[in-house]
Amino acid sequence: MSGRRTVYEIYWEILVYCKTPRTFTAIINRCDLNSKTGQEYLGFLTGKEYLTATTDEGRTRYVSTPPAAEYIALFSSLYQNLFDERPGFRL
Amino acid sequence: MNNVEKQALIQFKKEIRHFSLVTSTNLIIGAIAIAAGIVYIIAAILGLTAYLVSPELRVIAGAIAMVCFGLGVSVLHVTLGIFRGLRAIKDKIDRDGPAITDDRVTCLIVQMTAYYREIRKKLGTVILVGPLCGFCVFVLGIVTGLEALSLTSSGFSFTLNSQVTLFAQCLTLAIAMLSLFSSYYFTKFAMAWNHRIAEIEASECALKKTLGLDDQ
Repeated sequence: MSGRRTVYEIYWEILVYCKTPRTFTAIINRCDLNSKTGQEYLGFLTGKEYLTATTDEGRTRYVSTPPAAEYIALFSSLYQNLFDERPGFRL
Repeated sequence: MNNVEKQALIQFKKEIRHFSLVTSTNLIIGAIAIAAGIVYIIAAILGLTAYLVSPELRVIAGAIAMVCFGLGVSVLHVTLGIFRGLRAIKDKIDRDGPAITDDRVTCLIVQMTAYYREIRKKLGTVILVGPLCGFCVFVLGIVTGLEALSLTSSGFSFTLNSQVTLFAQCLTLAIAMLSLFSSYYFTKFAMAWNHRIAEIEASECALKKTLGLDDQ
């Protein structure tokens, strides 16, 4: 996913993608980030305990923690509610 | 998927489909303007425009044809830029089908939001240039159809070429009207999305709070 995203949208993408364990490379590829910003985002989410890093066979994988579910749910409801209210676009 | 999610998906799909339709219409308008401009320029080079009332009118028609061509290229180029990204999102919606998950719906909404931020300026250009392009096609149609034009101190009168069918004139008018409608719908789309972007910005406080960033 690319385009002009806010940090909150990027956090949401990472957390949803990491519902199953993912490597750093897979995350930055999927979320269209460079290594530097990828490290920053993962560092932030790990620091807030929304992500945990596990090392398996020498590879570090990141997975969302239960507290991340609160953020994911709030984010989804905010974005989906945008389509409940008028004015919407129709022909 | 609960009712709110279902409603969001239905509305989102509908908007993307409608916006895609308006964008396609604008592509056609751009292509027609390019074609009209080129046809007149080629006809002028081949000397097929000698039927026009005066050399001055031929110069004016030539200038309008070139403007028409330029605006057509501009509309086609900018609209194509909008269309490509939109098509990608529309394809994803179609590919996912009815068994779409809640996260996937939000993901597509986020994609469209990010994409709208990217195309916002392009949309502004199309809203302005589109009707101008349609107007040029219409004026070119009128000017090339003129058989006689007289300007007096009390006003002006003109006669349309009898060979130019009413159908052709109606067609250029239809293109002009279509460009106006497409510009109107682009404006409606931009207004709806600007409103949503403003709402997203307003709701960032709640996200900040959840992330524990409200004190920063």
